[in-house]
Amino acid sequence: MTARAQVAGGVFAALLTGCSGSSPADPGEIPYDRLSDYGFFVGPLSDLEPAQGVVPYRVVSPLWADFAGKARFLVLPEGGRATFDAAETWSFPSGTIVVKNFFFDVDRRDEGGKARIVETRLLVREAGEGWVPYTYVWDEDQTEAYFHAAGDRLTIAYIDAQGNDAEQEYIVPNTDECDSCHARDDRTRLLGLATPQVNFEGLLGDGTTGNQLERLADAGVFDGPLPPVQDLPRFSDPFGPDPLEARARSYLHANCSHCHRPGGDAAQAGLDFTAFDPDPLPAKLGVCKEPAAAGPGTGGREYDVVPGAPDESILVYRMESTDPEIRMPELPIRIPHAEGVALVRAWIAGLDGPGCGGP
Amino acid sequence: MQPRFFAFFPLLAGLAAAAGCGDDATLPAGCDQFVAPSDDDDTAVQEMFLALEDGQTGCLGAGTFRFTRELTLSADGVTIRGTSQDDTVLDFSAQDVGGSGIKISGDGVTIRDLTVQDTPGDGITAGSVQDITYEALTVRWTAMYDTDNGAYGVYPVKAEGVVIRGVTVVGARDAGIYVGQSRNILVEDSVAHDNVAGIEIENSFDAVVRNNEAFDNTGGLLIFNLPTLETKNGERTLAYGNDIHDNNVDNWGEPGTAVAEVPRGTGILVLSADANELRDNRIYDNDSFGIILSSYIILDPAKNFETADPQFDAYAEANYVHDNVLDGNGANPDDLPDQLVPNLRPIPALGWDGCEHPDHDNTTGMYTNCFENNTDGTGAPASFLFVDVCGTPPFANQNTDFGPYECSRPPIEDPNP
Ligand code: HEC
Ligand code: HEC
Repeated sequence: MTARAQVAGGVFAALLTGCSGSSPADPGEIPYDRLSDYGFFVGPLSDLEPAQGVVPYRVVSPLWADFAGKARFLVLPEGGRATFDAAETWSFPSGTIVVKNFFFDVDRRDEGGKARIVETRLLVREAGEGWVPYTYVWDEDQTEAYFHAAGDRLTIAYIDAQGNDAEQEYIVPNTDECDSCHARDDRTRLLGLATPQVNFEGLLGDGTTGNQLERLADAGVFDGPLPPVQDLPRFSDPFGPDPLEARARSYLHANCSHCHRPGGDAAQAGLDFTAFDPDPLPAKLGVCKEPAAAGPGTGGREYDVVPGAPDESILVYRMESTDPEIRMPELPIRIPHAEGVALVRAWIAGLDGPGCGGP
Repeated sequence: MQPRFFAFFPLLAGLAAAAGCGDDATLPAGCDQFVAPSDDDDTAVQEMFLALEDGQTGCLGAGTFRFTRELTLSADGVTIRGTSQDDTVLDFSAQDVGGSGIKISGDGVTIRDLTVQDTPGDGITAGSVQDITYEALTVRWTAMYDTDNGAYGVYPVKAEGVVIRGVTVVGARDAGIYVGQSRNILVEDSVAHDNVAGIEIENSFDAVVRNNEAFDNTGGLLIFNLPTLETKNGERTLAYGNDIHDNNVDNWGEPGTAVAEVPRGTGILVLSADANELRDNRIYDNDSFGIILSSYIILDPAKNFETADPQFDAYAEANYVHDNVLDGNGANPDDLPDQLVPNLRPIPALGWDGCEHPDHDNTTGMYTNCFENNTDGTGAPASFLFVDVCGTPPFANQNTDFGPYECSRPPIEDPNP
C-alpha cells in the first residue's frame, strides 16, 4: 500500500507535503482514517459537493442495494487520463480513485429529498497492486466517515411509503467481500465504469441531462477522442422504455454478471449473465439448465429458467428468497428487489417455450 | 497489508487488548495474532483475518465465539488455529449474512483445531484455491436431520491440492465431507455421520480417500460426476481402508438436489465416474447396496443430459473394485432399489447398472468394470448383481453372474502411502 492519491486540484496540495506520519495534518498512507482526508468534497462533507477534478457520474443499470441511493464520482490523479475501450476495459493511471456513496432517503415518500449517507466505498488504483477496495462508514452526525475494514451491520430508520416509522438493517461488506463481486480471474475490476453502462441519455451524475459518456469525455477523462456514441454498445435502462428482453438482460448484467460469468466468483455454476452478446446460448442465461450440484437452493425446481414459467424457475426462487443460503445475489444484499423480480418474471413469462420438456 | 488496524479503531484496540490480541508479550506460542471470545466476535475475528499477513498464524482462544456474518479469509499461506476441536467453538447459529460460515479464498491455507457449528449455509468453504488443508476440526449441526442445516460441512470447490485429515462432520443436509471440481485430494482419518451423504467426491480428479469412517448417513461414500459443471468427467478416486456401515437414515436431502436421490442404505455409490479403484474397504449393514456402480441414467432416464451437456460422460466405466469385505448389506432396501431389484433379498452386495457408453468400443475390455476378490463376512465371494437398467427391455437380463466382470486393472498408486 504505497501509492498515495494525487488528486487533481488544490484540495490535495496540503496532503502532499510532509510524510512523517507524526504531523497531525498528515493522514498517512491510503487508506486514510477519515473520508475527509481525501479532500473529495468541498463544504460540509455530507453535501457531497465535488471538489475540482472530482467528476460525478451515473450508470444506466445500477446494482440493487436494499433501497440505497448512490452518488458516484471519478477522481483522476493530476494530469492523468483514462484510455477508452468500447467494451469494459478502460484503463486508468495509478492514483485514480472511484468513489461510491450509499445513502437512504429519510422519507421514502420523498425520493431525492433529505437523505442519510451510510457508507462510502472506494476503489483505488495503486501502483503494482491494481484496484484496491476500501470502505468508510458515516457517523450519526453526518460529519465524517471512518475507514472500516471488517464490515458492519447498521440500522437505518426511515419513514415508509405509508408515512410510518420503519427500520431496516444495512450490511457494510468487509473488504474481502468487495472482491466476491469485483474480482474476476483473481484481479479486482471496475464494474460500472464501462461503456455500455454510461452510454445513455438522461439524468446525469451532475444533475443535468445528456449523454453520460460524452459528459465524461467533456470533463477531460479520456486521453483521446471518443468514437461516435451512437456506434458504441449501450445497455437499456431496466425500468425504461426499451423492449423487455433488453431491459431484463441489462438488469441481470448489473446485478448478477460480476459473479456469473467466466472467471467470476460463481463461474463454477456455468451461467453467464453478461449482456454484451445480444444472442447468447440460452443455457448461459439458465434457460433449461439444470442447477449445478454445488447449489443447494433449488426450491425443488428443476431448471434455472423454465420458459413461460417463472414460478418453476430456480432463478426467480433465489431472487425472491431472504434465506442467506439461497438468496441471490449472495452478498451483502438482504432485501429482494421487487421491481427487479417483476422484470425478470416478465422476461421469463415471455420466453418461447413453453417448458423445457424432455422428448 | 500492515497489521495496523488498531490505530484505526481505538475502541476495538482496547477490546482486543483485553482479549490479549496483538500484544506480543501475551501471544501464545506459535501465534502471530490471537483473539479470544468477546462481545463482538464478528468484528474481532474478521479484523484478525484481514490483518494476517501472508504466512502468519492466527489463533483463536478457548471458548465459544458467536457470529452473525460470514468470515472471510483471503491471505495466502496462513494457518487459522483454535486451541482444540473441543475447546474452541465457532457458533454461527445467529448468522444471517453470507452463504458459508468461513469462506477461504487465499492459497495455502490451513485451518485446524476448532469446531464450526450451526452455519445456516456451508461450514468452511474454500473456492478456487491452491492447497487447502482442513485438519483436526469438526463441523456440526446440532439439529438432527433438519433441512435448515447447511449443505456441506467442509467444502473445497475448484481447488488444487486438498487435504482433509482428522475431520468430523455431523448433520449436513447434503454432503458432510464434500470435495467438488478439484484435483489432487487426500481425505483421511476422518469421520462423517448423520449427514445425507457422508463423504462425496464430485467432478474431481486424483482423490485418495483412506481410513475414514462413514456411518448413519443416507449414503456413506459417493463418487459422483454430474453434468453441466465447469470441471467435467472426474476420474481416479482411490478409496481404501474405509469403514462404511449402517448408512440407513431416510434421505432427508433438499428436493431437487442430486443427493436427494440417493437411496437410504447406500454404502458406496459411484455415479457416472470412471477409472476409480475401491479396495480393502469394510462395508457392512447398509440396507440397500454395498457398492453400486451406476450411470446417470438412473437419475435421468430420458437422457436429457445428452443435450444439456454433450461432453458429459454419464456412464460408470473402467472401475476396479477388489479385496473389499462386504457383510450384511441389502437386507431392507429403499423404494428405488426395491423397484430395481424386486426379487432378490438381500440385494447382492456389489452391483453395476449395466449401462455402457454408446460411443465406447469395449472390445479390448478397457471400459469393463472389474470386480475381484471381494468377500463377505465369512470369506466367501461377495454376491454380485448385473442390474440391467439399460437392457431391452430394461431388467430383462438381470442376473447375479459376475464371471464376465471378474478381472483386474492396473492399480492406482497412492502418491503418499
Ligand atoms: C454484490 C456485489 C458487490 C459488492 C459486494 C461490492 N460491489 Fe462495488 N459495485 C458493484 C457493481 C455491480 C457496481 C457497478 C454498478 C453500480 O455502480 O451501481 C459497483 C461499483 C462500485 C464502485 C464504482 C466503480 C465501479 O466499479 O464501477 C466502487 C468504488 C465500488 N463498487 C466499491 C466497492 C467496495 C469498496 C466494496 C466493498 C466494501 C464493494 N464495492 C462491494 C457490485 C458490488
Ligand atoms: C456475489 C456473487 C453472486 C452474485 C452477485 C449472484 N450470484 Fe448467483 N450464485 C453465486 C454462487 C457462488 C452460486 C453457486 C452456489 C450456489 O448455488 O449457491 C450461485 C448460483 C446461482 C444459481 C444456481 C445456478 C446453477 O445452475 O446451479 C442461480 C439461478 C443464480 N445464482 C442466480 C443469480 C441471479 C439471478 C443473480 C442476480 C440477481 C445472482 N445469482 C447474483 C454467486 C452470486
